[in-house]
Amino acid sequence: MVLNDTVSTNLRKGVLEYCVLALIGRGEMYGLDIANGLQRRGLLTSEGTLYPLLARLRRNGLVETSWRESAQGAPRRYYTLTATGQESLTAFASIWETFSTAVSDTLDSSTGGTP
Amino acid sequence: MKHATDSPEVGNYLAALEARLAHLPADQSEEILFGVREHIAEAMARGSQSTAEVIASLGSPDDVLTGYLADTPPPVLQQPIAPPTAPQNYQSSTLWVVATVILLPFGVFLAGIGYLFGLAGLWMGTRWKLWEKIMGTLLFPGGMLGAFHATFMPFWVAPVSVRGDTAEATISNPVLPGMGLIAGVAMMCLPIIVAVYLLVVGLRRGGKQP
Repeated sequence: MVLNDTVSTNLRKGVLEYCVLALIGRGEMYGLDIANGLQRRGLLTSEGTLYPLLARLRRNGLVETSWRESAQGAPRRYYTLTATGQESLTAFASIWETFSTAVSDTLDSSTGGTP
Repeated sequence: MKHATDSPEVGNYLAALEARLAHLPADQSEEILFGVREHIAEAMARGSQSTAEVIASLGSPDDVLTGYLADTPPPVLQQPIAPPTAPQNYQSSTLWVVATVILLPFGVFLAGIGYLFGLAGLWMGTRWKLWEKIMGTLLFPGGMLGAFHATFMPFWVAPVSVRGDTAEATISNPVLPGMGLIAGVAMMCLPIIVAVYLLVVGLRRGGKQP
């Protein structure tokens, strides 16, 4: 169990920010929706850790924020992808495809008996 | 529902988080706190979770701080990795080189010991190769005085001609008979030529270890 947690945590570290970019890339999103979306998929254990990440993505120019009035009246902050963020996401998607295929093939070959 | 964010539970959580983030740059901690505060307010407004559940799903303030630290490598790690600097080898200074090449030929005229200092400078210097140090020592021991002595007054050869022709004997070279005055002067120039050579190569190697 400890091993599972460690492996999952380490794997999440490298991909979390791109999953955030991918969610935002579908359309402008509110912080809570991003957090819930990631947690539902098991990509985020503590939702609070999303906010340091969002702050960094904004500082680095990958996402930008805008303010909208909410149904409750209080202005909400929405996140959208910048062009740089889109490029970064596209590049990662390509890398991930190659990487995940390579890992899957390697795992299949070691468990399937064909080296 | 809005007033739910004013509950002591939420207030304590935000205060604890603010304390954990206190050492961060102010704009960063404020942005994180704002996001978390907004998250709580919106989750409360939706009404599907209790305050305790919302706070539990956020993780502890320590979790948020850990997330920040994991997400933000220490500044030193963000710097481009500097090329490893080679240990600075001791290198003789330019002044050392100049003083040495002056003392070698002319130091003998400074109470005699100037030459010895020149010799020490040559062998302790780091800008010359071994063969250059040997050349500097052998051409000529005693510098200009040594060259002069070897040219005109070698103590191992009688300066006086066996025929008694003393005038010719002092002018011609006893070591290399028939060498003549010009060759003798050229021989005397050797310490100067060697010194100039040592100066040139010494200065040229100023930037690197020989």
